[in-house]
Amino acid sequence: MFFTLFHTFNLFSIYAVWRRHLTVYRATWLSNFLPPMTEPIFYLFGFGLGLNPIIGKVIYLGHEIEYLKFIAPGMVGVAVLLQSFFEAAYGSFIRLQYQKTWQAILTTPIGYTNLFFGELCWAATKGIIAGCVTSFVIIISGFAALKDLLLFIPLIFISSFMFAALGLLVIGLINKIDEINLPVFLLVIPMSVMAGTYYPRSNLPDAIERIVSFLPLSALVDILRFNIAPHSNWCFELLEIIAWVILLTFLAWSSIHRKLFKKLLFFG
Amino acid sequence: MQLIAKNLHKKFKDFKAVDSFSFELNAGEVLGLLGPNGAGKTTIIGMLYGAVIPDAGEITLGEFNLLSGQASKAKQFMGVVTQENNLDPDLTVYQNLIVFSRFYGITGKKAEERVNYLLKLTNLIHKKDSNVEELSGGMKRKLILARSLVASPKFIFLDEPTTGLDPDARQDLWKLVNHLRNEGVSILLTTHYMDEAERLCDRIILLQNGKTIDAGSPSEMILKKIGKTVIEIYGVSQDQVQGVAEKYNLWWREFADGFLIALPDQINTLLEELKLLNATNIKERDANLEDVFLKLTGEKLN
Repeated sequence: MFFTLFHTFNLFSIYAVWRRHLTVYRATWLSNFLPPMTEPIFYLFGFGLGLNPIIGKVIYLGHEIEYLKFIAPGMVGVAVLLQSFFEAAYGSFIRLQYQKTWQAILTTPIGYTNLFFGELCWAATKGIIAGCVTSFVIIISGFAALKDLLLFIPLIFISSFMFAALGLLVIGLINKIDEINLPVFLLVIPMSVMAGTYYPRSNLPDAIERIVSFLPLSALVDILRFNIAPHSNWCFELLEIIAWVILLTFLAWSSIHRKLFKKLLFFG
Repeated sequence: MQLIAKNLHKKFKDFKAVDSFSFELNAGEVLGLLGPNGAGKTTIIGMLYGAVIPDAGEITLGEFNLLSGQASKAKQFMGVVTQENNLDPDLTVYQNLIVFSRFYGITGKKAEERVNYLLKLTNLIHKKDSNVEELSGGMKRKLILARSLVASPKFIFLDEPTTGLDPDARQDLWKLVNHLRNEGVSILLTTHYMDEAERLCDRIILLQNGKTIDAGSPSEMILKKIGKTVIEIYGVSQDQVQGVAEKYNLWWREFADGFLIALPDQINTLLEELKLLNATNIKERDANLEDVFLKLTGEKLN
Protein backbone atom coordinates (compact mmCIF):
# COMPACT_ATOMS: atom_id res chain seq x y z
CA MET A 1 0.00 0.00 0.00
CA PHE A 2 2.78 2.45 0.89
CA PHE A 3 4.41 1.40 -2.34
CA THR A 4 1.34 2.46 -4.33
CA LEU A 5 1.32 5.76 -2.45
CA PHE A 6 4.85 6.65 -3.45
CA HIS A 7 4.37 5.13 -6.86
CA THR A 8 1.58 7.62 -7.56
CA PHE A 9 3.57 10.61 -6.25
CA ASN A 10 4.21 13.01 -9.07
CA LEU A 11 5.96 16.28 -8.26
CA PHE A 12 4.74 18.02 -11.41
CA SER A 13 1.12 17.13 -10.58
CA ILE A 14 1.51 18.47 -7.05
CA TYR A 15 3.07 21.62 -8.50
CA ALA A 16 0.22 22.01 -11.02
CA VAL A 17 -2.35 22.01 -8.20
CA TRP A 18 -0.23 24.37 -6.08
CA ARG A 19 0.20 26.65 -9.09
CA ARG A 20 -3.59 26.89 -9.54
CA HIS A 21 -3.82 28.35 -6.05
CA LEU A 22 -0.94 30.72 -6.70
CA THR A 23 -2.74 32.00 -9.83
CA VAL A 24 -5.81 32.81 -7.74
CA TYR A 25 -3.71 34.26 -4.91
CA ARG A 26 -1.84 36.60 -7.23
CA ALA A 27 -5.07 37.95 -8.69
CA THR A 28 -6.46 38.80 -5.26
CA TRP A 29 -3.24 39.23 -3.33
CA LEU A 30 -4.11 42.46 -1.55
CA SER A 31 -7.23 41.12 0.14
CA ASN A 32 -5.53 37.77 0.61
CA PHE A 33 -2.18 38.95 1.79
CA LEU A 34 -2.76 41.93 4.04
CA PRO A 35 -5.31 40.94 6.73
CA PRO A 36 -3.70 37.61 7.67
CA MET A 37 -0.27 39.20 7.74
CA THR A 38 -1.28 42.05 9.93
CA GLU A 39 -3.19 39.87 12.40
CA PRO A 40 -0.24 38.49 14.38
CA ILE A 41 1.49 41.84 14.10
CA PHE A 42 -1.50 43.53 15.74
CA TYR A 43 -1.46 40.84 18.41
CA LEU A 44 2.22 41.46 19.00
CA PHE A 45 1.91 45.20 19.32
CA GLY A 46 -1.62 45.28 20.68
CA PHE A 47 -1.04 42.84 23.48
CA GLY A 48 2.67 43.52 23.76
CA LEU A 49 2.52 47.31 24.06
CA GLY A 50 -0.67 47.22 26.10
CA LEU A 51 0.48 44.61 28.57
CA ASN A 52 4.18 45.49 28.66
CA PRO A 53 3.78 48.36 31.21
CA ILE A 54 1.76 46.06 33.48
CA ILE A 55 3.92 42.98 33.12
CA GLY A 56 7.32 44.42 32.29
CA LYS A 57 9.29 41.23 32.49
CA VAL A 58 8.38 37.56 32.60
CA ILE A 59 10.19 34.64 34.14
CA TYR A 60 10.64 31.97 31.45
CA LEU A 61 12.52 28.79 32.38
CA GLY A 62 14.29 30.70 35.12
CA HIS A 63 15.31 33.57 32.84
CA GLU A 64 13.94 37.04 33.29
CA ILE A 65 13.08 38.56 29.90
CA GLU A 66 11.26 41.55 28.48
CA TYR A 67 7.60 40.76 27.76
CA LEU A 68 7.69 41.82 24.10
CA LYS A 69 10.75 39.63 23.49
CA PHE A 70 8.88 36.77 25.13
CA ILE A 71 5.74 36.97 23.02
CA ALA A 72 7.49 37.71 19.69
CA PRO A 73 8.36 34.04 18.89
CA GLY A 74 4.88 33.08 20.10
CA MET A 75 3.40 35.38 17.46
CA VAL A 76 5.42 33.62 14.76
CA GLY A 77 3.83 30.36 15.92
CA VAL A 78 0.35 31.86 15.95
CA ALA A 79 0.81 33.29 12.45
CA VAL A 80 1.82 29.88 11.10
CA LEU A 81 -1.04 28.15 12.90
CA LEU A 82 -3.80 30.50 11.79
CA GLN A 83 -2.73 30.87 8.17
CA SER A 84 -2.07 27.19 7.42
CA PHE A 85 -5.03 25.92 9.35
CA PHE A 86 -7.59 28.35 7.94
CA GLU A 87 -6.43 28.00 4.34
CA ALA A 88 -6.79 24.23 4.65
CA ALA A 89 -10.00 24.19 6.68
CA TYR A 90 -11.90 26.98 4.90
CA GLY A 91 -10.18 27.40 1.53
CA SER A 92 -9.91 23.71 0.70
CA PHE A 93 -13.33 22.96 2.15
CA ILE A 94 -14.99 25.54 -0.10
CA ARG A 95 -13.11 24.12 -3.08
CA LEU A 96 -14.19 20.62 -2.14
CA GLN A 97 -17.78 21.11 -1.05
CA TYR A 98 -19.05 24.16 -2.93
CA GLN A 99 -16.85 24.93 -5.92
CA LYS A 100 -16.21 21.23 -6.68
CA THR A 101 -12.70 22.18 -7.72
CA TRP A 102 -11.35 18.91 -6.28
CA GLN A 103 -13.86 16.93 -8.32
CA ALA A 104 -12.99 18.85 -11.49
CA ILE A 105 -9.26 18.23 -10.98
CA LEU A 106 -9.92 14.53 -10.41
CA THR A 107 -11.21 14.22 -13.98
CA THR A 108 -7.64 14.95 -15.16
CA PRO A 109 -4.50 12.81 -14.86
CA ILE A 110 -3.85 14.36 -11.41
CA GLY A 111 -4.69 11.52 -9.05
CA TYR A 112 -6.18 11.88 -5.60
CA THR A 113 -2.89 11.66 -3.72
CA ASN A 114 -1.21 14.34 -5.83
CA LEU A 115 -4.24 16.59 -5.51
CA PHE A 116 -4.20 16.12 -1.74
CA PHE A 117 -0.52 16.99 -1.49
CA GLY A 118 -1.01 19.99 -3.79
CA GLU A 119 -3.65 21.31 -1.39
CA LEU A 120 -1.45 20.52 1.61
CA CYS A 121 1.55 22.31 0.08
CA TRP A 122 -0.55 25.36 -0.72
CA ALA A 123 -1.99 25.68 2.79
CA ALA A 124 1.54 25.21 4.16
CA THR A 125 2.81 27.89 1.76
CA LYS A 126 0.42 30.40 3.27
CA GLY A 127 1.67 29.49 6.75
CA ILE A 128 5.26 29.84 5.60
CA ILE A 129 4.60 33.29 4.12
CA ALA A 130 2.85 34.43 7.32
CA GLY A 131 5.55 32.99 9.59
CA CYS A 132 8.34 34.62 7.57
CA VAL A 133 6.65 38.04 7.43
CA THR A 134 6.06 37.98 11.19
CA SER A 135 9.68 36.91 11.75
CA PHE A 136 10.95 39.86 9.72
CA VAL A 137 8.71 42.24 11.65
CA ILE A 138 9.95 41.06 15.05
CA ILE A 139 13.57 41.17 13.88
CA ILE A 140 13.21 44.68 12.47
CA SER A 141 11.48 45.72 15.71
CA GLY A 142 14.40 44.35 17.67
CA PHE A 143 12.49 41.58 19.47
CA ALA A 144 14.60 38.87 17.87
CA ALA A 145 18.05 38.68 16.30
CA LEU A 146 18.74 38.18 12.60
CA LYS A 147 20.48 34.87 13.33
CA ASP A 148 17.24 33.60 14.83
CA LEU A 149 16.01 33.20 11.25
CA LEU A 150 18.25 30.15 10.92
CA LEU A 151 16.11 28.52 13.57
CA PHE A 152 12.78 30.09 12.64
CA ILE A 153 12.70 29.25 8.94
CA PRO A 154 13.03 25.45 9.18
CA LEU A 155 10.60 25.43 12.09
CA ILE A 156 8.08 27.59 10.22
CA PHE A 157 8.44 25.27 7.25
CA ILE A 158 7.72 22.02 9.04
CA SER A 159 5.04 23.37 11.38
CA SER A 160 3.16 24.92 8.43
CA PHE A 161 2.72 21.40 7.10
CA MET A 162 1.57 20.25 10.54
CA PHE A 163 -1.21 22.83 10.84
CA ALA A 164 -2.15 22.51 7.16
CA ALA A 165 -2.65 18.78 7.71
CA LEU A 166 -4.73 19.52 10.80
CA GLY A 167 -6.97 21.78 8.70
CA LEU A 168 -7.33 19.14 5.99
CA LEU A 169 -8.16 16.51 8.60
CA VAL A 170 -10.97 18.78 9.77
CA ILE A 171 -12.50 18.93 6.28
CA GLY A 172 -12.25 15.17 6.00
CA LEU A 173 -14.35 14.84 9.14
CA ILE A 174 -17.04 17.49 8.72
CA ASN A 175 -20.00 17.77 6.35
CA LYS A 176 -21.23 21.33 6.78
CA ILE A 177 -19.22 24.52 6.90
CA ASP A 178 -20.68 25.45 10.32
CA GLU A 179 -19.07 22.38 11.83
CA ILE A 180 -15.67 24.01 11.31
CA ASN A 181 -16.57 26.09 14.39
CA LEU A 182 -16.08 23.06 16.62
CA PRO A 183 -12.37 22.51 16.01
CA VAL A 184 -11.82 26.27 15.65
CA PHE A 185 -13.29 27.23 19.02
CA LEU A 186 -12.47 24.06 20.91
CA LEU A 187 -8.96 23.52 19.63
CA VAL A 188 -7.36 26.19 17.47
CA ILE A 189 -8.31 29.36 19.36
CA PRO A 190 -7.67 27.88 22.85
CA MET A 191 -4.38 26.48 21.57
CA SER A 192 -3.31 29.84 20.17
CA VAL A 193 -3.92 31.43 23.57
CA MET A 194 -2.83 28.73 26.00
CA ALA A 195 0.11 27.00 24.34
CA GLY A 196 2.63 29.37 25.90
CA THR A 197 2.23 32.09 23.33
CA TYR A 198 1.21 35.07 25.52
CA TYR A 199 2.56 33.77 28.85
CA PRO A 200 4.74 30.89 30.08
CA ARG A 201 2.70 27.71 30.42
CA SER A 202 4.22 27.26 33.88
CA ASN A 203 1.81 30.00 35.05
CA LEU A 204 -1.06 27.56 34.48
CA PRO A 205 -2.22 25.04 37.11
CA ASP A 206 -0.22 21.82 36.95
CA ALA A 207 -2.93 19.60 35.48
CA ILE A 208 -3.82 22.08 32.74
CA GLU A 209 -0.19 22.74 31.95
CA ARG A 210 0.38 19.05 31.40
CA ILE A 211 -2.53 18.75 28.95
CA VAL A 212 -1.65 21.95 27.10
CA SER A 213 1.95 20.83 26.69
CA PHE A 214 0.79 18.03 24.41
CA LEU A 215 -0.64 20.49 21.87
CA PRO A 216 1.41 20.86 18.68
CA LEU A 217 1.70 24.64 19.08
CA SER A 218 3.31 24.22 22.54
CA ALA A 219 6.19 22.24 21.10
CA LEU A 220 6.59 24.78 18.31
CA VAL A 221 6.74 27.91 20.49
CA ASP A 222 9.12 26.20 22.92
CA ILE A 223 11.61 25.51 20.15
CA LEU A 224 11.07 28.96 18.62
CA ARG A 225 12.28 30.30 22.01
CA PHE A 226 15.39 28.14 21.83
CA ASN A 227 17.67 31.19 21.70
CA ILE A 228 15.99 32.74 24.73
CA ALA A 229 16.24 29.59 26.80
CA PRO A 230 16.31 26.04 25.43
CA HIS A 231 13.53 23.88 26.79
CA SER A 232 14.88 20.73 28.47
CA ASN A 233 12.67 18.60 26.24
CA TRP A 234 13.40 20.38 22.93
CA CYS A 235 14.71 17.24 21.25
CA PHE A 236 11.61 15.31 22.14
CA GLU A 237 9.43 18.24 21.08
CA LEU A 238 11.06 18.35 17.68
CA LEU A 239 10.32 14.65 17.22
CA GLU A 240 6.79 15.35 18.41
CA ILE A 241 6.29 17.94 15.65
CA ILE A 242 7.58 15.50 13.03
CA ALA A 243 5.28 12.80 14.40
CA TRP A 244 2.30 15.18 14.26
CA VAL A 245 3.09 16.04 10.63
CA ILE A 246 3.15 12.38 9.63
CA LEU A 247 0.11 11.35 11.66
CA LEU A 248 -2.11 14.32 10.72
CA THR A 249 -1.15 14.09 7.04
CA PHE A 250 -1.98 10.41 6.95
CA LEU A 251 -5.31 10.83 8.74
CA ALA A 252 -6.30 13.79 6.54
CA TRP A 253 -5.32 11.92 3.37
CA SER A 254 -7.38 8.92 4.37
CA SER A 255 -10.45 10.80 5.63
CA ILE A 256 -10.83 13.06 2.58
CA HIS A 257 -10.50 9.99 0.38
CA ARG A 258 -13.41 8.46 2.27
CA LYS A 259 -15.40 11.64 1.77
CA LEU A 260 -14.78 11.72 -1.99
CA PHE A 261 -14.95 8.02 -2.83
CA LYS A 262 -16.93 6.63 0.13
CA LYS A 263 -13.96 4.43 0.75
CA LEU A 264 -11.38 4.66 3.51
CA LEU A 265 -7.80 4.16 2.42
CA PHE A 266 -5.82 1.50 4.28
CA PHE A 267 -8.75 0.65 6.52
CA GLY A 268 -10.72 -1.34 3.93
CA MET B 1 -7.77 2.50 -29.16
CA GLN B 2 -10.85 1.00 -27.54
CA LEU B 3 -12.52 1.48 -24.18
CA ILE B 4 -13.80 -1.76 -22.70
CA ALA B 5 -15.78 -2.11 -19.50
CA LYS B 6 -16.66 -5.57 -18.22
CA ASN B 7 -19.09 -6.63 -15.53
CA LEU B 8 -19.18 -3.38 -13.61
CA HIS B 9 -20.94 -3.52 -10.25
CA LYS B 10 -21.68 -0.75 -7.78
CA LYS B 11 -23.87 -0.80 -4.73
CA PHE B 12 -24.70 2.23 -2.57
CA LYS B 13 -25.83 0.72 0.72
CA ASP B 14 -28.73 -1.52 -0.42
CA PHE B 15 -29.25 0.20 -3.76
CA LYS B 16 -27.74 -1.51 -6.81
CA ALA B 17 -26.71 1.46 -8.94
CA VAL B 18 -24.83 -0.57 -11.56
CA ASP B 19 -25.48 -4.26 -11.99
CA SER B 20 -23.19 -6.33 -14.16
CA PHE B 21 -22.83 -3.71 -16.87
CA SER B 22 -20.52 -4.22 -19.83
CA PHE B 23 -19.88 -2.19 -22.95
CA GLU B 24 -17.31 -1.20 -25.54
CA LEU B 25 -16.61 2.19 -27.02
CA ASN B 26 -14.88 1.92 -30.36
CA ALA B 27 -12.62 4.44 -32.03
CA GLY B 28 -14.54 7.29 -33.66
CA GLU B 29 -17.91 6.12 -32.39
CA VAL B 30 -20.63 8.15 -30.64
CA LEU B 31 -22.29 5.92 -28.06
CA GLY B 32 -25.37 7.07 -26.17
CA LEU B 33 -26.13 5.89 -22.66
CA LEU B 34 -29.84 6.42 -22.12
CA GLY B 35 -32.15 5.63 -19.28
CA PRO B 36 -34.50 7.11 -16.71
CA ASN B 37 -33.21 9.10 -13.73
CA GLY B 38 -31.31 6.83 -11.36
CA ALA B 39 -30.61 4.22 -14.05
CA GLY B 40 -26.88 4.41 -13.32
CA LYS B 41 -25.61 6.56 -16.20
CA THR B 42 -23.62 9.04 -14.13
CA THR B 43 -22.27 6.29 -11.88
CA ILE B 44 -20.97 4.44 -14.95
CA ILE B 45 -19.30 7.55 -16.36
CA GLY B 46 -17.86 8.22 -12.90
CA MET B 47 -16.27 4.77 -12.92
CA LEU B 48 -14.61 5.48 -16.26
CA TYR B 49 -12.74 8.54 -14.99
CA GLY B 50 -12.15 7.36 -11.46
CA ALA B 51 -14.72 9.37 -9.48
CA VAL B 52 -16.56 6.20 -8.49
CA ILE B 53 -14.72 3.06 -7.44
CA PRO B 54 -16.61 0.00 -8.72
CA ASP B 55 -17.22 -2.90 -6.34
CA ALA B 56 -16.25 -5.30 -9.10
CA GLY B 57 -15.44 -5.24 -12.79
CA GLU B 58 -12.74 -4.30 -15.20
CA ILE B 59 -12.13 -1.21 -17.33
CA THR B 60 -9.40 -0.93 -19.93
CA LEU B 61 -8.55 1.88 -22.30
CA GLY B 62 -6.18 0.61 -24.95
CA GLU B 63 -3.34 -0.99 -23.04
CA PHE B 64 -4.16 0.71 -19.73
CA ASN B 65 -6.06 -0.94 -16.92
CA LEU B 66 -7.97 1.88 -15.26
CA LEU B 67 -8.58 0.12 -11.99
CA SER B 68 -5.03 -0.88 -11.17
CA GLY B 69 -2.89 2.21 -10.94
CA GLN B 70 -2.81 3.15 -14.63
CA ALA B 71 -5.70 5.60 -14.49
CA SER B 72 -3.47 8.68 -14.59
CA LYS B 73 -1.83 7.48 -17.80
CA ALA B 74 -5.17 6.60 -19.38
CA LYS B 75 -6.63 9.97 -18.43
CA GLN B 76 -4.13 11.70 -20.74
CA PHE B 77 -6.40 10.39 -23.51
CA MET B 78 -9.70 11.32 -21.85
CA GLY B 79 -11.78 14.45 -21.60
CA VAL B 80 -14.68 14.62 -19.16
CA VAL B 81 -17.70 16.91 -19.22
CA THR B 82 -19.35 16.35 -15.85
CA GLN B 83 -23.05 16.85 -15.28
CA GLU B 84 -22.51 19.62 -12.75
CA ASN B 85 -20.84 22.86 -13.69
CA ASN B 86 -17.57 22.67 -11.84
CA LEU B 87 -15.74 25.46 -13.61
CA ASP B 88 -13.30 27.30 -11.39
CA PRO B 89 -15.08 30.49 -10.20
CA ASP B 90 -11.80 31.89 -8.86
CA LEU B 91 -10.37 32.06 -12.39
CA THR B 92 -11.22 33.76 -15.69
CA VAL B 93 -12.39 31.83 -18.76
CA TYR B 94 -8.86 31.81 -20.19
CA GLN B 95 -7.22 30.89 -16.87
CA ASN B 96 -9.66 28.00 -16.43
CA LEU B 97 -8.29 26.41 -19.57
CA ILE B 98 -4.63 27.27 -18.94
CA VAL B 99 -4.76 25.86 -15.40
CA PHE B 100 -6.47 22.72 -16.69
CA SER B 101 -3.85 22.32 -19.42
CA ARG B 102 -1.20 22.19 -16.72
CA PHE B 103 -3.04 19.30 -15.09
CA TYR B 104 -2.38 17.41 -18.33
CA GLY B 105 1.25 18.50 -18.34
CA ILE B 106 0.75 21.07 -21.10
CA THR B 107 2.34 24.45 -20.38
CA GLY B 108 3.77 27.57 -22.01
CA LYS B 109 3.25 28.45 -25.68
CA LYS B 110 1.75 25.07 -26.49
CA ALA B 111 -0.95 25.53 -23.87
CA GLU B 112 -1.67 29.12 -24.93
CA GLU B 113 -2.06 28.16 -28.60
CA ARG B 114 -4.35 25.25 -27.83
CA VAL B 115 -6.47 27.33 -25.42
CA ASN B 116 -6.88 30.14 -27.94
CA TYR B 117 -7.83 27.59 -30.61
CA LEU B 118 -10.46 26.03 -28.31
CA LEU B 119 -11.89 29.41 -27.33
CA LYS B 120 -12.30 30.23 -31.02
CA LEU B 121 -13.79 26.80 -31.76
CA THR B 122 -16.40 27.25 -29.02
CA ASN B 123 -17.04 30.94 -29.85
CA LEU B 124 -15.90 32.08 -26.43
CA ILE B 125 -12.86 34.07 -27.45
CA HIS B 126 -14.65 37.38 -26.76
CA LYS B 127 -15.27 36.18 -23.19
CA LYS B 128 -11.62 35.30 -22.63
CA ASP B 129 -11.10 37.59 -19.64
CA SER B 130 -14.57 37.25 -18.16
CA ASN B 131 -15.20 35.59 -14.86
CA VAL B 132 -16.97 32.26 -15.39
CA GLU B 133 -19.88 33.41 -13.24
CA GLU B 134 -20.69 36.01 -15.90
CA LEU B 135 -21.29 33.36 -18.58
CA SER B 136 -24.72 32.13 -19.67
CA GLY B 137 -25.69 28.49 -19.08
CA GLY B 138 -24.87 27.56 -22.67
CA MET B 139 -21.49 29.28 -22.55
CA LYS B 140 -20.62 27.48 -19.33
CA ARG B 141 -21.35 24.10 -20.91
CA LYS B 142 -19.30 25.04 -23.96
CA LEU B 143 -16.43 26.13 -21.73
CA ILE B 144 -16.55 22.81 -19.86
CA LEU B 145 -16.45 21.05 -23.22
CA ALA B 146 -13.51 23.21 -24.28
CA ARG B 147 -11.83 22.39 -20.97
CA SER B 148 -12.21 18.67 -21.64
CA LEU B 149 -10.41 19.14 -24.97
CA VAL B 150 -7.22 20.85 -23.74
CA ALA B 151 -5.15 17.69 -24.14
CA SER B 152 -6.70 16.69 -27.52
CA PRO B 153 -8.31 13.56 -26.04
CA LYS B 154 -9.23 10.46 -28.02
CA PHE B 155 -12.17 9.74 -25.72
CA ILE B 156 -14.73 12.20 -24.43
CA PHE B 157 -17.40 11.52 -21.85
CA LEU B 158 -20.33 13.92 -22.00
CA ASP B 159 -22.68 13.60 -19.05
CA GLU B 160 -25.90 15.40 -19.98
CA PRO B 161 -24.10 18.18 -21.84
CA THR B 162 -27.24 20.01 -22.95
CA THR B 163 -29.56 19.69 -19.94
CA GLY B 164 -31.23 23.01 -19.22
CA LEU B 165 -30.04 24.73 -22.40
CA ASP B 166 -32.19 26.59 -24.90
CA PRO B 167 -32.58 25.13 -28.44
CA ASP B 168 -30.02 27.53 -29.83
CA ALA B 169 -27.36 26.57 -27.31
CA ARG B 170 -28.20 22.87 -27.74
CA GLN B 171 -27.63 22.81 -31.46
CA ASP B 172 -24.45 24.82 -30.88
CA LEU B 173 -23.20 21.95 -28.75
CA TRP B 174 -24.38 19.37 -31.29
CA LYS B 175 -22.27 21.13 -33.87
CA LEU B 176 -19.23 20.73 -31.64
CA VAL B 177 -19.98 17.07 -31.00
CA ASN B 178 -20.24 16.44 -34.73
CA HIS B 179 -17.01 18.33 -35.28
CA LEU B 180 -15.26 16.06 -32.77
CA ARG B 181 -16.77 12.94 -34.32
CA ASN B 182 -15.43 14.03 -37.69
CA GLU B 183 -12.00 14.38 -36.10
CA GLY B 184 -12.20 10.73 -35.03
CA VAL B 185 -12.81 11.28 -31.32
CA SER B 186 -14.80 8.55 -29.53
CA ILE B 187 -17.69 9.98 -27.58
CA LEU B 188 -19.79 8.57 -24.76
CA LEU B 189 -22.91 10.63 -24.22
CA THR B 190 -25.71 10.57 -21.70
CA THR B 191 -28.83 12.60 -22.28
CA HIS B 192 -32.52 12.80 -21.46
CA TYR B 193 -33.33 14.22 -24.87
CA MET B 194 -34.19 11.38 -27.22
CA ASP B 195 -34.10 13.60 -30.29
CA GLU B 196 -30.55 14.51 -29.33
CA ALA B 197 -29.55 10.85 -28.95
CA GLU B 198 -31.21 9.97 -32.27
CA ARG B 199 -29.40 12.80 -33.99
CA LEU B 200 -25.93 12.30 -32.53
CA CYS B 201 -25.43 8.65 -31.63
CA ASP B 202 -24.21 5.83 -33.84
CA ARG B 203 -25.24 3.36 -31.21
CA ILE B 204 -27.35 3.43 -28.07
CA ILE B 205 -27.46 1.48 -24.85
CA LEU B 206 -30.73 1.71 -22.96
CA LEU B 207 -30.23 1.31 -19.23
CA GLN B 208 -32.58 0.59 -16.38
CA ASN B 209 -31.72 -0.19 -12.75
CA GLY B 210 -28.05 -0.32 -13.69
CA LYS B 211 -28.56 -2.97 -16.39
CA THR B 212 -28.65 -2.91 -20.18
CA ILE B 213 -32.18 -3.52 -21.40
CA ASP B 214 -31.49 -3.01 -25.09
CA ALA B 215 -28.83 -1.76 -27.45
CA GLY B 216 -28.37 -0.94 -31.12
CA SER B 217 -28.38 1.91 -33.58
CA PRO B 218 -31.24 4.38 -33.10
CA SER B 219 -32.97 3.53 -36.42
CA GLU B 220 -32.56 -0.21 -35.81
CA MET B 221 -34.04 0.05 -32.36
CA ILE B 222 -37.00 2.13 -33.52
CA LEU B 223 -37.83 -0.27 -36.31
CA LYS B 224 -37.35 -3.37 -34.17
CA LYS B 225 -39.25 -2.19 -31.11
CA ILE B 226 -41.98 0.07 -32.49
CA GLY B 227 -42.11 -0.01 -36.27
CA LYS B 228 -42.18 2.87 -38.71
CA THR B 229 -45.29 4.69 -37.58
CA VAL B 230 -47.22 5.47 -34.40
CA ILE B 231 -50.58 7.04 -33.80
CA GLU B 232 -51.28 9.59 -31.10
CA ILE B 233 -54.94 9.63 -30.20
CA TYR B 234 -56.74 12.04 -27.87
CA GLY B 235 -60.23 12.29 -26.42
CA VAL B 236 -61.02 8.56 -26.21
CA SER B 237 -61.31 6.19 -23.26
CA GLN B 238 -58.65 3.71 -22.22
CA ASP B 239 -61.05 0.79 -22.77
CA GLN B 240 -61.63 1.82 -26.37
CA VAL B 241 -57.91 2.04 -27.12
CA GLN B 242 -57.17 -1.15 -25.27
CA GLY B 243 -59.90 -2.94 -27.19
CA VAL B 244 -58.50 -1.99 -30.56
CA ALA B 245 -54.89 -2.59 -29.56
CA GLU B 246 -55.60 -6.03 -28.15
CA LYS B 247 -57.55 -7.03 -31.21
CA TYR B 248 -54.46 -6.48 -33.37
CA ASN B 249 -52.00 -7.35 -30.61
CA LEU B 250 -50.30 -3.94 -30.73
CA TRP B 251 -48.23 -2.05 -28.25
CA TRP B 252 -50.03 0.92 -26.69
CA ARG B 253 -49.65 3.17 -23.66
CA GLU B 254 -50.92 6.35 -22.11
CA PHE B 255 -49.24 9.41 -23.55
CA ALA B 256 -49.83 12.83 -22.01
CA ASP B 257 -53.65 13.06 -21.82
CA GLY B 258 -54.10 10.67 -24.74
CA PHE B 259 -52.65 7.38 -25.96
CA LEU B 260 -49.91 6.08 -28.17
CA ILE B 261 -50.43 3.05 -30.44
CA ALA B 262 -47.84 1.43 -32.68
CA LEU B 263 -49.05 1.20 -36.27
CA PRO B 264 -47.62 -1.72 -38.24
CA ASP B 265 -47.47 -1.39 -42.04
CA GLN B 266 -49.65 -4.40 -42.76
CA ILE B 267 -52.71 -3.29 -40.78
CA ASN B 268 -54.43 -0.69 -42.97
CA THR B 269 -57.82 -1.03 -41.31
CA LEU B 270 -56.55 0.13 -37.89
CA LEU B 271 -56.53 3.80 -38.66
CA GLU B 272 -60.10 3.60 -40.01
CA GLU B 273 -61.20 1.77 -36.91
CA LEU B 274 -59.64 4.36 -34.62
CA LYS B 275 -61.31 7.16 -36.54
CA LEU B 276 -64.66 5.60 -35.70
CA LEU B 277 -63.95 6.19 -31.99
CA ASN B 278 -64.79 9.88 -32.30
CA ALA B 279 -61.43 11.04 -31.03
CA THR B 280 -60.82 14.78 -30.64
CA ASN B 281 -57.48 14.42 -32.34
CA ILE B 282 -55.65 11.65 -34.19
CA LYS B 283 -52.08 12.16 -35.32
CA GLU B 284 -50.09 9.73 -37.42
CA ARG B 285 -46.36 10.28 -37.19
CA ASP B 286 -42.97 8.55 -37.60
CA ALA B 287 -41.92 6.45 -34.63
CA ASN B 288 -38.96 7.87 -32.75
CA LEU B 289 -36.51 6.97 -30.03
CA GLU B 290 -38.72 8.46 -27.35
CA ASP B 291 -41.35 5.83 -28.20
CA VAL B 292 -38.70 3.12 -27.81
CA PHE B 293 -37.66 4.61 -24.48
CA LEU B 294 -41.25 4.70 -23.25
CA LYS B 295 -41.92 1.17 -24.42
CA LEU B 296 -38.80 -0.43 -22.96
CA THR B 297 -38.62 1.38 -19.64
CA GLY B 298 -42.40 0.95 -19.24
CA GLU B 299 -42.20 -2.79 -19.86
CA LYS B 300 -39.50 -3.25 -17.29
CA LEU B 301 -41.27 -1.20 -14.67
CA ASN B 302 -44.44 -3.24 -15.02
